[in-house]
Amino acid sequence: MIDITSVLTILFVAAGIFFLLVGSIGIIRLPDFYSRTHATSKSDTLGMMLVIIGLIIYEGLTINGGKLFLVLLFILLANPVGAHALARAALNAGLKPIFPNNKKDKEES
Amino acid sequence: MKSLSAKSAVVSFIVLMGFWYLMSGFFDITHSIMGVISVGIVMAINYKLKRHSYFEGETDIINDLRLLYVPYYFGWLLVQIVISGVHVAKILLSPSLPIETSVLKFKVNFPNPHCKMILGNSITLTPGTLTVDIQGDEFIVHAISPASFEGIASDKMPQQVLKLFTNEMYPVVSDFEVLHSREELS
Amino acid sequence: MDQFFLYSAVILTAIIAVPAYRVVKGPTVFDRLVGTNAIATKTIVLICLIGYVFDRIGMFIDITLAYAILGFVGSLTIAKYFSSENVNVRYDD
Repeated sequence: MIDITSVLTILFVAAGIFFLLVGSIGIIRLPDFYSRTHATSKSDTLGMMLVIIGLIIYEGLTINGGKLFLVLLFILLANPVGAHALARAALNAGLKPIFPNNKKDKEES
Repeated sequence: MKSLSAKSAVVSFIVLMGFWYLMSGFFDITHSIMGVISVGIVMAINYKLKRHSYFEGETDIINDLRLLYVPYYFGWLLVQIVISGVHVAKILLSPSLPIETSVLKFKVNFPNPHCKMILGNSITLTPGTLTVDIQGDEFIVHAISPASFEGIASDKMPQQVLKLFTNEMYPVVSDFEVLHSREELS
Repeated sequence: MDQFFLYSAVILTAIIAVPAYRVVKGPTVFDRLVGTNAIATKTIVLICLIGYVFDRIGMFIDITLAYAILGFVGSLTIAKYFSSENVNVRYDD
């Protein structure tokens, strides 16, 4: 038997896992630290949001659903703050971003 | 030191009580009384921490925030997050990897420091831009492609943040510049 | 549905193994930190899914909250620790 909750859950969780996969690929493919931070802070946030929204739909209006919503809110606040803290630390430590279109930078790296 | 309004105390009491009910899962009278006592202790401990002002010109955020606009802002932010996820995914999955990174520098003119915090988080969550540092009024932002910082250059996103706090609109971003090489970034 | 959550958890485990390459390869300290951060955030989702596989979500969701908060505080502390000009960001020079 197929009901609408299961279908929605499967759709959301599958979409979320796709975006988490994109985030992982980005960490491998991108050329420098600052662009890798883009991959973790955006694709991962979206993927985790979608998976947890799917689980909330599966759970319904219970205490555990509320706790899952709390996890969602926490991720939404904590992920960009963590990415910003790392990027700021890297800038203070003297790590310069790579500009791939600039020829001089390409030769250096 | 800054003064705290009654509205701020009421809002934090409601939020902490909601957190207590969510974590305990019981709604009877005994647990409610225990919850009120715990929330009272937490608020008493945090009173000094909340009154301390960490930055110059910091104000009581709950009093200044226009609470009606908060759900609207979160809805707008969610749409932006979805757009940004799809945008970054498109870049990452194309075989040629068409990235064209640049660093932006601009100054903002906001009534209080909370605006800067909200704008920094929103910039990180929206298409292809990442807040690297905030020094005083100056933002340093890393962008992955030129199409991604149009929202900041055209002053659209800072206006949304400003709308959370006041009714009158004025241009926020000034001294906007785009850096393309390492020498310019000293 | 249990089958679906089980397969999702297995696929997610494979995805989590990918950033480990960045953690091992480097080249700078911050690249390694981004790799560990990505692993930590994806593990939050994995613990939720495992909770549904074992039908014990009431217990696993509390573990998830504690794990999320610990991971966040940990990454902030490490970022603060490396945030100075004395850090030698590359291992190999």
